[in-house]
Amino acid sequence: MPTFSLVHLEFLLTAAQWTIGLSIAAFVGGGLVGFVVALARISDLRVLRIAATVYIQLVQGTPLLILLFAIYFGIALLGYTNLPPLIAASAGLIIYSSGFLAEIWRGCIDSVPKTQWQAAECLALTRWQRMVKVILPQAARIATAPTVGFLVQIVKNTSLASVVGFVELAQAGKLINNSIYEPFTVFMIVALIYFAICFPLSTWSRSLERKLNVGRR
Amino acid sequence: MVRAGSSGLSPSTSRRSATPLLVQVFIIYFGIATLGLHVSANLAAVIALVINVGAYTCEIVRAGIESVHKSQIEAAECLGLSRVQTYWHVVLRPAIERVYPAVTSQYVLLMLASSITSQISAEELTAVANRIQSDTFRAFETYIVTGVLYLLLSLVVRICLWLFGLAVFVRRRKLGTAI
Repeated sequence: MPTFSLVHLEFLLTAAQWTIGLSIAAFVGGGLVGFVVALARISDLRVLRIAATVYIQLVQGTPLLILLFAIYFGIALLGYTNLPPLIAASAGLIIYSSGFLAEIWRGCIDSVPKTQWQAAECLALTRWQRMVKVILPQAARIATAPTVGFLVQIVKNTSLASVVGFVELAQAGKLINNSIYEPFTVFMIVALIYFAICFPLSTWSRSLERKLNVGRR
Repeated sequence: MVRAGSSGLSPSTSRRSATPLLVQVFIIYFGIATLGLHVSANLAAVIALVINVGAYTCEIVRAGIESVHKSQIEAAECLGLSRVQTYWHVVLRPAIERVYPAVTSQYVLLMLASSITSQISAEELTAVANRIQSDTFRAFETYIVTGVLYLLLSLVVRICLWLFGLAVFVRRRKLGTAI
């Protein structure tokens, strides 16, 4: 019976790179979609507002696991049977993170004081100028800490990509455990690697929060 | 007055644990097995979820307690309230009232996260969906229906917690603050 060795550790570290890659894909893609949804959520058009709200509620009301399954098998249903798990996994994570990021950012845009909107209007700025030059820079300041915090969520949720057969950190741990059956060692090391990725991020988020001191305005 | 929804309650503070629930579930399920104890998958799942949501709720309530203003405690002292009274009436209850919305969403997330325990074959909605899927090969339909069920469930959980909040936080209702 083989025991846990350097080869396994190397395999885990390679898989950790995939976890990081998947997180980046999910964050960038989800950020783009989420930004558009957040803007739609506060738009003056009723239809857009309702559509964005429905989208956010749908994404936040179903587990990521089901989302991943539905996408993986849904795309296969459309005829693309040889879909690489990477595509399905990132599509699911992008939808998931866009739903949450949209709501976080909507909250941040809303928490820019009303007087700022009114002042921009008094200066006769156009809607575009008001958004880009007045509201968004302030909202971005408020949004930084929660966004970095959500990044931690994304990294952790990439572990669910294993259900569509994508070999990332959690799946690699499961594979190694299947071959050597040392669950405690293997999953503790997996947990440690996740910790090594997530802890600096959440510490960063906390220090950003303190530095920008958003809470006490 | 510190607003609810300020820094203490932002997603960054309320969701802080550095390992995925999936890995926690694996560690608990397989870990207990290596200790020589036999636990059913369902029990291991419940233990993992309790630990997980316990940590999150603890963080949320801590944020709530920290958001109680110092002057409130000083005022309570001036009124001659005992330490216990101060803690219960001035610190803890308002703090919980304030973070109740955050706790609510955490519990909805917990309900959704329970789907993860299907990975150690605990008998819940997703695990059943997986079984139906492998019986019928109608994967897409199965998971769409499951998704709708989860949506309804999260709605039900929200409504229940909201009603619970209305019943428990009478003072807040009188003040007219939304729960």
